[in-house]
Amino acid sequence: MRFFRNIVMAAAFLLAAPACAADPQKQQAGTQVFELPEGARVHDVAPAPNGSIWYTAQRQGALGILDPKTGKARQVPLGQGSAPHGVIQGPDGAAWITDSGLNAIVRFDPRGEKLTAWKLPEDVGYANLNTGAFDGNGIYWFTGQNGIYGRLDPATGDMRVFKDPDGRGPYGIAATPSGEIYYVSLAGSHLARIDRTSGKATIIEPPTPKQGARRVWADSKGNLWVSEFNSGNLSRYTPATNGWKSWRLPGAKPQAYAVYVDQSDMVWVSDFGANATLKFDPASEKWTTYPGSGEGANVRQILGRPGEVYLPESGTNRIMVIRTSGAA
Amino acid sequence: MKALVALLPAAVIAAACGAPATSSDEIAPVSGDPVRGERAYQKCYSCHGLEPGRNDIGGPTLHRIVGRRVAAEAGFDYSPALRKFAERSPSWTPELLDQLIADPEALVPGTSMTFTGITDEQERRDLIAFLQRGEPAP
Repeated sequence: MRFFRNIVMAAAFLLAAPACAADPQKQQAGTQVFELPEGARVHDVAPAPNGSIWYTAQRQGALGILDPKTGKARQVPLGQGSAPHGVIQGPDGAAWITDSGLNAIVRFDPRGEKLTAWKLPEDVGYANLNTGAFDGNGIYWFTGQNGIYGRLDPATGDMRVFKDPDGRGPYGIAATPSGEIYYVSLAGSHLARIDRTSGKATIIEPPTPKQGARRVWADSKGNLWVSEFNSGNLSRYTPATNGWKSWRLPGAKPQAYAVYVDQSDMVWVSDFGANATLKFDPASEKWTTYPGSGEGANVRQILGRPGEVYLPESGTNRIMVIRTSGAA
Repeated sequence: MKALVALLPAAVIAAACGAPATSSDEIAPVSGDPVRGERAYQKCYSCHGLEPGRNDIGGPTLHRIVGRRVAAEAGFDYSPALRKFAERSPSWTPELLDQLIADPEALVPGTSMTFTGITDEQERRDLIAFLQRGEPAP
């Protein structure tokens, strides 16, 4: 598989803007809201070194770096045509970005602030790259919503791309504590487990038909939590038993978009229908609601680190931080 | 944008006179290349089908989208932003579609579409020509 590794450039700073805390009246106890540079349209977030937060500025083709201590944000442009979707921190401490505009995986190394891009092979075509995750061997796996998933070996640059058995739809992807990789398909309405050696995906059908599985995350026991956009359910798949259990989100017309499981195995799920993010306690089966900071907050992804949960609000262009030690 | 508008006088006049088209049959053909437009459609493909009633993959079907009423596809739960937009822009004229494809957020602030847009005017024209042709998905 041929790969490109020649797009290496010193990162310039397109924008450096103070990110102000939003109206405190709107804030819930234990939360803080940061305004991002105008027009950024934040999509995904990830913990970054030194307590800062990375975010994809999808509409401005940049990786954002927010310092919650000062509230200042700056953005690193990713190249002409960039439209980054996902970002995670890799085991190497770098930001790994799925860039649908560039049709490439982009790595940002905070030491020296260099960018490296691996374009998808030409014969793959436009993939609408979505999300990435590292497996237990340090291989980066990614999804493309036009119907592909793939792997990239950071050590060699070797990239392989596979077709989803159901075609379009691969969206969220996650690694379990043991290093296995699962992804979900929004259009295919399925969960899939990837054989990391062969690359083959095995479909695991959730019990609700056409549920619109959008994102997935693993808890500490290796169970997979799935946010179902069409059904409004939060579902859990237990690999050891092949069993499923589903909970319908509260509210009249829930649309479960993003899901994340924190270090205490609390499950966080965003609901477009309620304009809120919910914390779900699997033990008590109770929900706690965190309203969006404004109308149509549209939290499309959730991530965090011990003691903090980050909610990127694409609709308000803000990041809400929930400090879980003080959260309800 | 101006060039595209100039190519679409019938649609623009119809909209300006308060008589929005109601089907793709009533709109003058767009002067794009539908073959190239099919390639451009790959940027829409993941969320939008072409089959009638295919509304379960993230976005509503684009079947007969040119001239279709805005936010009126049965079985799709549109965002509040698009429903509000539909109150003042009842139909997807080619001109409006061009603006949407160029920059969805600029035309419909608060839209739930994540797509950031196609900046190339010819590519947009080709895409609209493909959508206007209304052929079923390959």
